[in-house]
Amino acid sequence: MKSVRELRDLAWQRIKILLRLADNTIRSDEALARRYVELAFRIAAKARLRLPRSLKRRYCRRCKVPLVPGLTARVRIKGGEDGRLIVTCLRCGYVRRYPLRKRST
Amino acid sequence: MRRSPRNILRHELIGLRARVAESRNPCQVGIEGVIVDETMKTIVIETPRGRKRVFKEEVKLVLWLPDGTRLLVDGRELRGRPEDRLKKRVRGW
Repeated sequence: MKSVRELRDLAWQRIKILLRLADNTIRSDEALARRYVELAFRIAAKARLRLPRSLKRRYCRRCKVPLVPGLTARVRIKGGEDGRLIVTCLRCGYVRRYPLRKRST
Repeated sequence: MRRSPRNILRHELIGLRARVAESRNPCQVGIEGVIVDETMKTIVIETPRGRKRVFKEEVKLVLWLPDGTRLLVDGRELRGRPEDRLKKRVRGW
């Protein structure tokens, strides 16, 4: 039985390979790019590995397409007291809102 | 852990160059290109003549690893969904 650390290292390598491929193929073959993201997420789940926020937010939660502003995503900033960063997936319409301000304590 | 002959059975195949060295279907021998997708039982290879899907069960593949090494793998060793190959299967070989 391999150690958990080795397993996660292996999983992480595979995830990096797949996500890089996804980013490279998004402009030529969207279905394939989606497939790579899907596989990467499945590998992460299998290895019980959490992806950093930077990666989690780069792909649509619903349809797994790499989110590229101007191509597959619309990014809007809503300012004001409770400002939000609003990312809309242009492929499936999924909307994700991120708060811009940390809660004051 | 980079892709090496030691861990290739559990590592990522997508993106590797491959050639069908042996197959139960003689037409498939010689198919060569980059692996673009993988399912539980098949591997899809991108060739100049389109994407070819071959059964893992039926082929032996030559794989080119990024470090330049070349190795022959029996497709039967690659059975299983890509995310399942990650785990276990120590079995001496």
